[in-house]
Amino acid sequence: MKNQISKEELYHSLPDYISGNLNDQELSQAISNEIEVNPEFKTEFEEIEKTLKFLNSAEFSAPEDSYFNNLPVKINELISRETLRKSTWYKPGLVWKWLVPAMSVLLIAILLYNGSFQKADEVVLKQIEKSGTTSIENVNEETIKIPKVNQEDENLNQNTSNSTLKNTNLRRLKRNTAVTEVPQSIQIAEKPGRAEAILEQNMISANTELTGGADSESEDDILLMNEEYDNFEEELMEFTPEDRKNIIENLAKSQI
Amino acid sequence: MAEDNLNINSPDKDLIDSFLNGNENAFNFIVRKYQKRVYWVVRKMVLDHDDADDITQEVFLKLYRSLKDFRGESKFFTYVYKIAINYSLNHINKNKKINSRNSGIDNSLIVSQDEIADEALTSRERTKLLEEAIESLPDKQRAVFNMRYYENLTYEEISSILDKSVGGMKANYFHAIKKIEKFLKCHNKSELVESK
Repeated sequence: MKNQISKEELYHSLPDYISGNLNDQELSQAISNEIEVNPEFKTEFEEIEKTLKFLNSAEFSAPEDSYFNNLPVKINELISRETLRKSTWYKPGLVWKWLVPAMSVLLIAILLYNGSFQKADEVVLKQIEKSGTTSIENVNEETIKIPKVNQEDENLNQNTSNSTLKNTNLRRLKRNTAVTEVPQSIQIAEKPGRAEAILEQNMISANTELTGGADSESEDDILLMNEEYDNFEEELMEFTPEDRKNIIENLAKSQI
Repeated sequence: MAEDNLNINSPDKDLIDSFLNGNENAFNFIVRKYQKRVYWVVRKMVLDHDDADDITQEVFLKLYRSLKDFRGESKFFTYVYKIAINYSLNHINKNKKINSRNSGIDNSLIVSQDEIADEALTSRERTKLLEEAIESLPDKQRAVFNMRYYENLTYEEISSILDKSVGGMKANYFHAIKKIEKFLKCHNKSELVESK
């Protein structure tokens, strides 16, 4: 047996009951009974019946007969216009659809990349602060390769400071190349950054302190060249004047 | 080929499948099949013919674009109905042209009063009264009333279109009729109501 039907449901079902759209027989019977026994409910029934009667009698004003003949044409035109508009604007729209996210990802990647090196910079800077500029080897041996300038080189440099005048040109030549080699001697393992630039400067200044000036930075190389030059001169003296002339000419041609 | 046999009376599924397979003509059959129903659904919601005309076209444009998304879980017309009701509700919310409506069709009916028989005048007044009564309903209530009273949709169908409970739809329908009743009483048009 179905639960007792509420008054609310009886009222809400009244329009369907009057229209003949109520399929639930039990509910329909309950409404019929309520109309007979409840005058208030009967009044409600009559009011709704009157309203529905009016709605049945009234009609909306209809459009012209030709309207529905022309409507498909108008719809097709609208679809064509929209398709054309979309084909014109959709492609650039697609570009933006993909370009903007791609640019965003790229930007984030760049920021992350820079951020990671900034952290590395900070670590290096901290190490510099701890160790100071005088003990370069302790600063960051893992990341920086420094040509060792020790006391022996310095002594050698002092011993050969009074070399002959004939070596002057060769020294100048060598010095020029040595100057360009100085930055290369500081090899930074990772991408150069602010910290590396500071380090590089520190290296140069440290090197300067140890070797006694920028001109004597590659003095050890120059001294080696001087020795080779002396040996070469002695060997050259062993040749005949004619052979020497040929050798010098050949050397001049080869631009050594 | 099956596509050649399509016409306005072909089953919805055949028309949809044919359209989705690239037969644009199948969509024309869909338009011709449903244009009147869609127009009247919209018209009874927005009441103005010109607005109904624009919205009907938009509904079919939307249908053209979204037909590939129709999964056949509900009746095709319920799917179309949902688009039509949503577009109508959006339009009503945007415009809120209460009491400023002026139907072009109604204007065309304005002729010399001498030429109008009493019966015709009564009919026009009834139409006007009906439109005003429906216009007095809140948007959702109006949708429920139209779907139930004019389209004879079940409460289950209405609830699926409006995403509301079935019980709520039944209550909405009852209150819509009570509101129309009240409107008629307020406008002292009981004689019109009782005249037929």
